[in-house]
Amino acid sequence: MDTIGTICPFCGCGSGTYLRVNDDEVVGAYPILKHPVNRGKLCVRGWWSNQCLKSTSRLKSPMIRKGESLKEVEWDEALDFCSSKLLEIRKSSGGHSLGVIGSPALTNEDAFVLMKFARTILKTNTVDGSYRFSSSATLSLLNQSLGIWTNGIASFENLEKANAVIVIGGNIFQEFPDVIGARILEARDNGAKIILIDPLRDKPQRFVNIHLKPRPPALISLINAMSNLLIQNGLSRFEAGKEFIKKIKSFAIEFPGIPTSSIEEATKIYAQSNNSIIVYCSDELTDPNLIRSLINLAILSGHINGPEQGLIPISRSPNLQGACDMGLVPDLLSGYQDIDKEETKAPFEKHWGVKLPLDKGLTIHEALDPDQKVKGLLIAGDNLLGKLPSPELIKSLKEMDFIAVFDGFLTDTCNLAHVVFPISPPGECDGTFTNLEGRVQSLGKIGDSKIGKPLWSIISKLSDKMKHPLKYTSDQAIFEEIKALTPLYSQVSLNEKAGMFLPRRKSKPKMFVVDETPINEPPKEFPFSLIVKNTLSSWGRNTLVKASPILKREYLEERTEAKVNPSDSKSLGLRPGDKIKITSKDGEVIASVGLDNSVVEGTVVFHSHFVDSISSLLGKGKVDPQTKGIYYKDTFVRVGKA
Amino acid sequence: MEIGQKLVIKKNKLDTWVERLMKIGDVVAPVKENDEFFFKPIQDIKNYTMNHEIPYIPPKDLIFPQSENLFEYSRDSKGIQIKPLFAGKKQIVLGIRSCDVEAAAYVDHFFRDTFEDPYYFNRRKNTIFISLGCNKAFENCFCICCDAGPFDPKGYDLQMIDLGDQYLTEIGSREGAEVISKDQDLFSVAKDEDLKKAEEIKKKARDTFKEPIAYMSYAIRKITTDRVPKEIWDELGERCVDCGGCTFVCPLCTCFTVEDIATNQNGGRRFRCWDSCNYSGFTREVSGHNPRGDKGERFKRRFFHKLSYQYIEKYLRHQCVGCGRCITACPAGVDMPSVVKRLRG
Repeated sequence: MDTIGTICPFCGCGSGTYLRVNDDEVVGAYPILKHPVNRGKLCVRGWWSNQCLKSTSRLKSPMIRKGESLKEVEWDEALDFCSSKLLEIRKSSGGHSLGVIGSPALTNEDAFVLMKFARTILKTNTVDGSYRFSSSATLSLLNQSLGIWTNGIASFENLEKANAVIVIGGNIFQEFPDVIGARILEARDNGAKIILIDPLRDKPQRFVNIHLKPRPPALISLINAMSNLLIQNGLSRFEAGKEFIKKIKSFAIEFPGIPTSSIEEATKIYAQSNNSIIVYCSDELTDPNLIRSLINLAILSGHINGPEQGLIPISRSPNLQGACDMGLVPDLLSGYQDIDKEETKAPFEKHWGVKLPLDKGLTIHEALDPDQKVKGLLIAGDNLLGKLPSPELIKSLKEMDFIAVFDGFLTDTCNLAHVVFPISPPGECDGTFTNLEGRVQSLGKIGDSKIGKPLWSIISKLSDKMKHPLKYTSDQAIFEEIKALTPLYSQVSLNEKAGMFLPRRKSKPKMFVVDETPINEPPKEFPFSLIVKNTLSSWGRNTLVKASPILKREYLEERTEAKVNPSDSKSLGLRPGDKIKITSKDGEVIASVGLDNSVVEGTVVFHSHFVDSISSLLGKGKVDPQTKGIYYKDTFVRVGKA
Repeated sequence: MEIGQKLVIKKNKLDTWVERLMKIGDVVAPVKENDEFFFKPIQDIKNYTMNHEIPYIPPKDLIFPQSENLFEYSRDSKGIQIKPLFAGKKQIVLGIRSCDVEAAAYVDHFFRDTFEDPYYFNRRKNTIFISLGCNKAFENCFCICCDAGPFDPKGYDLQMIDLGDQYLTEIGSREGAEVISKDQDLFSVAKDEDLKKAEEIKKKARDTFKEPIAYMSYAIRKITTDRVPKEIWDELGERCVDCGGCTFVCPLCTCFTVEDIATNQNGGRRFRCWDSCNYSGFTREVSGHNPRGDKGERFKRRFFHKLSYQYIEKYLRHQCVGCGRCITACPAGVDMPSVVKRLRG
């Protein structure tokens, strides 16, 4: 029996995990007792992270589409096919007709090599990540407000010492218990005040001091109202705040169902405590205006300067921060260095010995716009199909001329591909992850994968075939190159046992104008709130969860139904399974109804992967000009028997 | 050599003995890695230690691993073929602490309760426990409240007690006697003064536990007579986060699930892995109905199973040995001692 220390592949917390190996077979996973992130604890996903390695859905061999189905082929054949297709498209339509979509599940090394391959060999700046529709908004806005995202993040160690914590979404306790939930409870037991903002929870949890339940579209208005109260009551510690807040048109003052005194009290507690932290899941809160409002609130109260206070935006992917840091963003090179600026571009061109392409890179949804004429996509490390938020984008992906998928598992996206390469998942590869605090940690492996190869080595082989060899031999060599070209990572040493933090930089915070009409009450004709919920069971059809027998039992895929509170169903005369018609100002859908006690009265919950229904009700997704993500706004609806 | 006999071995002869044991089978002993102790088969005599805290990974997994393949099945013209995959090399677990030995005796009981589980006993019957008593309590220990230590657990093959320059070694089973019988040159019969010293050490060790530690008997009475109000279970259950950690680190928890994995069209393998009664899928029925759908309900079930008299009667002890591992594993502070304390009010 052997134990291999590594990092849990599930979420952005970066828990230290041992993989238990018996005669070359992985038999278990166990928390590292003295790891500073999880301190001997794990969540259910972490406890079963070993099962993903033994999943029967692992890709066993490269495959090429022959007719309707994918056929297993030798590595060389797949590499030849892929490289010749890429060369053909590049030659006939130019590099900008190719795109690369990475993922927050890739290691830093893989993400970096992928970015380099796109820009130097494919000659395209269309390099993006599958996080475009979820968690990337937080990072991008923190970068804009504070210079670099690390400045806005509170460290885990300080969460347990905080005096006040605002938790947005009560499922955080359950979903990230080992790292986040445990520390919030510890803070609570040490006397901290916990403010829960969650429209879904019916019962306030006993360890929550104040529970605010805004009707969904009103969440942003509530946060803005708190900012306003902070200024009104002279609690702001940010000089320029007063002037700034004047630019915001108006504030809602009253919220039905929430006593004004509890909003005032929550604001007071948050503003007046020494160390206040806001915790939320960045994969769930995707409306950029909400993130802007939260950053504003933190800046105004002075709670954003240092590891003791700030935000803890939890990502459900293990390396969101790292993938973005590595330049899987169209217009940014690694370390958020502008590709348009000569001084930041030059070191890369010198080091790589090539001129970088000048085309304006596209985001995923831009690349999937038929007008842009992107013909070939490389999709690495994620089930992109499960994350696209609209039927148009899904249709467009299905019609792509050429798709190459690099993944550890057979996903729905693989079934669209023309060629598929098996990559070795965490546990069977080296490399590093950057957790949500900015802690860069090395992965451990039980041995080289017998069926997959590290992404960087496949990309290196492809580059060979394309007569422009990248010649990488190890993750360490790639990390050295990352350090040389990325000031953010230049001081990171991989010799530290529990990883090393990325630096923070002194900066003057900038607030955001939140252009949002305050909403507090539903209009008469639409008395219900519609919540699009993004749960772990529906989130990106989570590949790793589905790969484990225990986890797929614990995270049942959500049924295709709209959930309402039993008392609402009673007053509407509905029984479970009945068909209901949900009408919004944009359209209507028919759905079967399910009952759920945790849904607050007056709300309808839809799960995020029912993209057809959601886009019928919410209209076209909004594109945020600053963060370039598509998101849907919660809205009010009418519900009746179909 | 017979059961009950007491011998001593000088500390400087221990390595020689261990080297001889390594010829009989794998010697699984505490090894310090990454500032943490593990039970691992030792290759190099220099690597093990007898000055260890209880390893966080319970030695339960040496006899009941987190996951194991049970059998392969296939279908051909002759019908269905089943090929059991028994595992179980001879292993001598050296330095296992009293709580874990006591726990193993319970696990034995569980796996032969309705029928003898061949996969389990194939490992178990090839395992020898040489326990090491604890001269002082570690940070989270409360075995003294659970009748499981710090010395003399039920079910050891040999028990060693650190007397300073030598180990008092007591024979607890025929297997233990057999192991030691070939090594009589390394051992001598314990003298009265050795036994007296051991008694003093045992007495002193009792004083090293934190006060107050746990109030098991009170909790057992309250749970058995169903006098715990629902609100308390709801309150505790609300904190529980369904991670399953407490059940995996617990040396007595035995729940498992099985799954058949098809490896080709005509066959596959069945494996089993640990399961947790905290998980909502543990008792969810195909219809979607879950008799223990509520966290508080599941929480109650777990502690009912651990502490109520009907299970004590069935398994001859309550199901906690006071190792304190759940205190580390629980993200929400609802581990055994804190629950027992809460029940006491």
